Amino acid sequence: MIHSKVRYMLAAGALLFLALGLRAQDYGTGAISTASGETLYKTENSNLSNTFVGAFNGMNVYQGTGELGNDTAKWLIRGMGSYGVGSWNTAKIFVDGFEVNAEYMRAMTPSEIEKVEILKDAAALAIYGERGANGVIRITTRRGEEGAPKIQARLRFGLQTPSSLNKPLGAADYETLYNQAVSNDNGMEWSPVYANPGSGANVDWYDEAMRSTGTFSDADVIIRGGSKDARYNINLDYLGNQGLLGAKNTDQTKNLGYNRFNVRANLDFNVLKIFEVRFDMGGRIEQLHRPNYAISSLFADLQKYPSNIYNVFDDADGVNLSGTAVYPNNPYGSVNSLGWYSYKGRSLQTNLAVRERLDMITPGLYLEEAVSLYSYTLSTYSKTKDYARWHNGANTTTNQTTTITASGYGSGGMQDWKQGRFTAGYDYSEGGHNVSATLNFGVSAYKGDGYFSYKYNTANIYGTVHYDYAHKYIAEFAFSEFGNDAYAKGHRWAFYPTVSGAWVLSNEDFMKGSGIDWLKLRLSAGMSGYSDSGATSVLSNYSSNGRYLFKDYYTYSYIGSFYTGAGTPSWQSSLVPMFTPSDDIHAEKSRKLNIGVDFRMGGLSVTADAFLDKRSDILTLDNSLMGYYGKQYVFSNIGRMTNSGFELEVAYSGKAGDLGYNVHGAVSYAHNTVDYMAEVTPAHSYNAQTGRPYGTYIGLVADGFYDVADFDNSGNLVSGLPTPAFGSVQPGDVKYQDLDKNGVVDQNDVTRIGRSWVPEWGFVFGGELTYGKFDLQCLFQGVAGVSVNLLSNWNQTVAFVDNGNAYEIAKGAWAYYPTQGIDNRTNATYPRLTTQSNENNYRTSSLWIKDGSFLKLRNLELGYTVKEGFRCFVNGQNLLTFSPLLAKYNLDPENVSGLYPALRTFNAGVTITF
Amino acid sequence: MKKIFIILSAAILALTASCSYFLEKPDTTGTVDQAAIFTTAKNAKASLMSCYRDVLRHGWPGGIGIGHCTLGAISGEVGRGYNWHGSYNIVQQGLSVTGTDGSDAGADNYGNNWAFIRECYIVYENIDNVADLSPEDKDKIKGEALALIAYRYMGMFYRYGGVPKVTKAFESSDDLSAGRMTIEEMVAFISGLCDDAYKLLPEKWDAANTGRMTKGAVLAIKARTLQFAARPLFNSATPYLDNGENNALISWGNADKERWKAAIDANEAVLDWAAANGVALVNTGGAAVGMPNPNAFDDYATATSVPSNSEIILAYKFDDTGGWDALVNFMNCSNYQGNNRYDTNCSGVLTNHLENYWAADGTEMSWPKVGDAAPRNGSDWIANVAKIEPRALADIKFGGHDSKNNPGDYYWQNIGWNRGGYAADKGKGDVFPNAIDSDKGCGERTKFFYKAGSRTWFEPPLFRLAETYLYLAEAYNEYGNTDKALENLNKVHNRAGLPKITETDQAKLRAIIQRECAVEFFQEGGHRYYDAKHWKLDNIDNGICGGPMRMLQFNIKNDDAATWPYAAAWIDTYWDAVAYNAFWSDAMFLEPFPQSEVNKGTITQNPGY
Repeated sequence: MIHSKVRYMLAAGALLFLALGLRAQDYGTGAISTASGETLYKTENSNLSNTFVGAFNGMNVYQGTGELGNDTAKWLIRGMGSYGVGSWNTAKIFVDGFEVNAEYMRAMTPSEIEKVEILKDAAALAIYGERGANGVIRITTRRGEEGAPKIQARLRFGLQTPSSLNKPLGAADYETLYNQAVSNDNGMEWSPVYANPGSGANVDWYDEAMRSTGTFSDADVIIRGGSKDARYNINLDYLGNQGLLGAKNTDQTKNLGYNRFNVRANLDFNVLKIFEVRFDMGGRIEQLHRPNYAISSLFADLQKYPSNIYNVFDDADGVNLSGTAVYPNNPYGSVNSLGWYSYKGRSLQTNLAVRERLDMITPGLYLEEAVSLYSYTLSTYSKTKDYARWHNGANTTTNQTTTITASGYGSGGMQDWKQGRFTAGYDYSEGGHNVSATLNFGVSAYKGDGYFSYKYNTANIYGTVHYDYAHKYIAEFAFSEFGNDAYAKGHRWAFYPTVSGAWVLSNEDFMKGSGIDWLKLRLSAGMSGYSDSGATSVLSNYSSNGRYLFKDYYTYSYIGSFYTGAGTPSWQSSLVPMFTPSDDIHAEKSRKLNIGVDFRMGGLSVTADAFLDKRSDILTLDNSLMGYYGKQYVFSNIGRMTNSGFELEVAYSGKAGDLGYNVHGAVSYAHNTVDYMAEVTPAHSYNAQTGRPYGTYIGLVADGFYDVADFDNSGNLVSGLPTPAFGSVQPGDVKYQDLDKNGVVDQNDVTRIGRSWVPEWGFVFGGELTYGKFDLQCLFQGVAGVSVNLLSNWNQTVAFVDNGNAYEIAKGAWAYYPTQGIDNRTNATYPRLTTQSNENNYRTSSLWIKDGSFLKLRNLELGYTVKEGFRCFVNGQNLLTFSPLLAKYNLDPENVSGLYPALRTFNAGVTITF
Repeated sequence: MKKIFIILSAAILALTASCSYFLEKPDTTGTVDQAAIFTTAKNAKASLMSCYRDVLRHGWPGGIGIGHCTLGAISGEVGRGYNWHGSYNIVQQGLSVTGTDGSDAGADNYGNNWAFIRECYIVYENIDNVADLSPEDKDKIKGEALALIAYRYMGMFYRYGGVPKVTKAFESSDDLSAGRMTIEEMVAFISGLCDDAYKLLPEKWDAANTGRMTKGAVLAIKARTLQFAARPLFNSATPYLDNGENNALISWGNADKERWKAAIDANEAVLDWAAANGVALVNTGGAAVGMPNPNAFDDYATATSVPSNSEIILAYKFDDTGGWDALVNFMNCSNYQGNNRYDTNCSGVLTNHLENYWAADGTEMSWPKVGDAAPRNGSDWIANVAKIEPRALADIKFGGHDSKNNPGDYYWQNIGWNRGGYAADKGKGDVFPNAIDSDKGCGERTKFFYKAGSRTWFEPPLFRLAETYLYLAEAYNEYGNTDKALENLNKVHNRAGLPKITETDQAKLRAIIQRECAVEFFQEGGHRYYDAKHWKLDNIDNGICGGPMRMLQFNIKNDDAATWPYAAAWIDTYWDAVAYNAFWSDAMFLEPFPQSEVNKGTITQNPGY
């Protein structure tokens, strides 16, 4: 890697040259969105990521399910810049300068956080190399301040309810529709299975398995203060959260519950004039318990088990739980009669940084060495039992009722992360020239769990030179020379430079007297990279996150073995190649351009940014090779995408008499296009994913339903109608457009039938009123330009198939039984019902793609300050949802799968500072 | 200042240098690369064994594209399975270009064919790099690789017709624009591979290496290829559906009787090899030529079940006892296979297949028919089972009876068959003439498990000498040599304990030979599924691949003493009923290519898809 070293030397030389005679200033050039820990505290949630909602412009956050332990939000910074991973949460996270993963971040508490910044453009991301292209979440924890000790104690308590629940039809409706489904399957001859719909069992399984409210409690204490040479910030936090399941917390049963203890101590010392020491320790214990039945399975059962299958108990005494071979997992039993499961997670991040001020050598020069150690372990423990399933007085499965036994103690995963950084920095200021320069060398060694992706070693040589003339003209050069163990020699190191500038017009003489307090223009251009990749997930035996693809690996594990021998056959080991290797694989590249303006005048402030992100070299499975190449497991850096958009944020604060107010609003837009993804060549250009936003729904265009008149007497489609290639059809089945007019409806007739699952627009608006001792705040947040596929919630959309359930949506089914007085031909919104699998109706088509936009009232808070340092408040979260999906299909657009519900929370709390 | 610059630069350079080690080594625990594989004989052999493991499974559970089922479930042998099984979807909706339940199209995984062929070529091309192998051993391994490639091409030949010609492990930079070969080119290519492999392979392996490719195995590959080349689906002037200018990909373009002569020669070559190497039909009864074999049950059961028996030319030696494998899960219906009972639960034997068996004395059986005015008595069922030919008793555990394959073994008896094993229910007499149950049929499969006891695995026979005889019977009959046809047919027919066939009318004899194949090769890979299609059977849409699929239904006496699983004595009445109708369209004579592959523009789809 000679050439990269040369590159580095040149950069280092340039830096040091520039460093002569220049001085520091913090007039930034990057696009950064910031929120304080105090702001995040307002969203009451045990998972930090959920508090991000509405807090950052340019980052859309989906809260999704409220399932404790599995409730990490989904976020994207500036939309989907790359399909390389192609999913949510690809932004890397750094806490106090060191990288952490989402597991660490989600269990941080807002009270230990000073601020969270979302880094969006090349200038802000310049030093992050191959971690930066999808944005960075940078968290800074609270530090001590010189002064008398300050103690803040806060306490809050809340009740949580489902923000929506999509319950199935009751037995009467279910059975009425089931009669239709069976008759439809029987050549449309009326052949009811239930003579008297609604006369049998009718159980609301959601009510049996769930309770109406969960609880939330959170108490924290912050102690901060210190002298000039020793400062401290100490934070203690306890959080307890009980979920929505029907079980009590006893020896035998557990509700879903989560408890967490956080401790953080951030200490700063000045030693011997030249040393500044920072020592931070953040640790915590997390405990989760739940019934010994996976929450996702439980809610899938709740979705799938019809109301009429059986009563909770098979006998009158309420002893024998019901269950059948088809519906073996009585939801009441799953919650109450299988014992419980729990885990404990323990993590500790310890950072030590020592800075030496070398002013005696050259004023402004310093060195800094920093290390970070992080470890995490998860252990599991459960107590299990089982119950016999009864139906009509007989056992229906082999399960027996057993007493509870302790079982299943084990490890649930371990991680450690060692990071180090060496910095030489130089701050200088003279005669209007301000320079701040750093040169850094960072290493990171992560070890986690996994087969081929458990070890990540990276190195990063990075530097910045920030030059400011008279606080008017600001220029910055930064680079990252990033080393990654994922790639072959020759691609192991890559160089990512950035230049940026800003012009503070409000500091110019000609602007004096204009009344404008602050006006800054920003411009940045630069490169960034990203090394994680989802492409290798197609290799079921080598899901390596895009790593080590230069080796032609063979494996034993996946394919089994072969035997030879005439007598007792002897086992022969067997080895197979896993993929076609390539030395050229490297990280994907992002070229970013950003232009922004910050403006303040009186109570009005405006920030606007526009960006362009050209992504190239995205690691892609090359589908363009013919199958007889030997199956398509060939990867190359051939993908390209373009992402562009803008963010606009406006706030105004003012006072009218005793009434103080501020209002703020923000809008963001990000639109991407897949330029090339080596897609399987489609038959027609309109079939293609390429050229459209990533994740755009492609499918058939539904064209109503087949009518009785579309068939001849023997049940065949009348001539002239295109033949669907998905099995035989009958009246009431979905009719599709034959786009290529070849007489057959097949995969060649697919086209764009909706937007992407990645929202293009984000909105936030809210306000605050203060009047005397009262304050009132509210926050609305929403997204638009997004589609959802109802079939992704198969259980609640597809009625009856595979012993499934039926929901309100099924009432719109096409049906025609004139003798029974049933005729829903003209108003049908759903295909004819069936109990059998149906490839024609239940496939991705415009019938199932719906608008996924929403606007939610995220937060409404009323506070009362009793006296200085003593405030109490009540608030509510997720109080209102405006969404076509919720209105029409009773599905939460943030939680379409409809498993464990999203939560609405009502809280009351106090804050005391003394 | 200068000093600092120098110190810093030196420090950073030193760090960068040490970093190159820090970033150097991919830590992929215990994973070897290709160079490591082809340095030692042990590893090279391991890579060859994976070729065997992958290539030879074609057509058997775990080796067809579909995640669940046997091909018998879509060719009138057994029930269609659960509705999440691929066979169920094909029965409902036919073969699709996007595949089902794991296949990438139809009932095969097209892509896998090429992945496996590539593995074989990698072995073929790299084996010379191995240090500790003699040149002779290297030649044998090359021969094995070529034979395995030929085997897979043979399978693709009768699945798809012509497919692209691949002669090496491609680089991604190679020209990959080759289209499909014509039928003629396919036959020539496969024959050429066989001829090359033949030169390199041993006549026979020593006992420890039994199971590897031999000269006899490649002769059998060639013979089967030529047999399918001579059958009417390809050997006709016009294809089954017009394919325009691409007719040559799915049809010879003329009907030529001499193709049967080529098949005869190839199959006779197999017989010659067999005679020279001790491979012979299992027939221990000592009956004279043309006379029924008194040991028919044990001999047929041995030939299909016992590993490395004398009739085997090539078997698939995947003998995992773990029991999680699809081969075990979908084939072993006994209670010993306790891992996934869902896999066989809805795969009862269809009446469509049952009717192929003869009575043990060579006469026709008498079974209930759909449309009978009344159900038959349970005693008729017991009498029928007592009367049926030995092969049926080896193949099937009949409802209410013990499996004859494993006498005395509780888990192979009716009483230990804890899910019942046939379409029976108590007090359901009023259901007649409809179906009580459309999953279980008249019984469950026991073929391949003769005296297996608790051993759940078996060795699927890929080439049995019985195939060679029946191919010869078919070919001679088509070529006009009735005597030779009967001679070869009766080898197999007599071995099954049945009196010799004497029919001389070509069409009638053809039907008898086809029926013999249907019985003899029940559940053996895709025999029935591909035979029926290549014979272009007239009623393929009416009870073979498509049309009504029937199962016998058993009404059990409403008596408290009758306990699950019901013994045959408790059967009150039984009848035949249509369990479901299977989908058929003429496009299904050949498999579809995956749409994604066709869309790349180099190969053309088979007609009708």
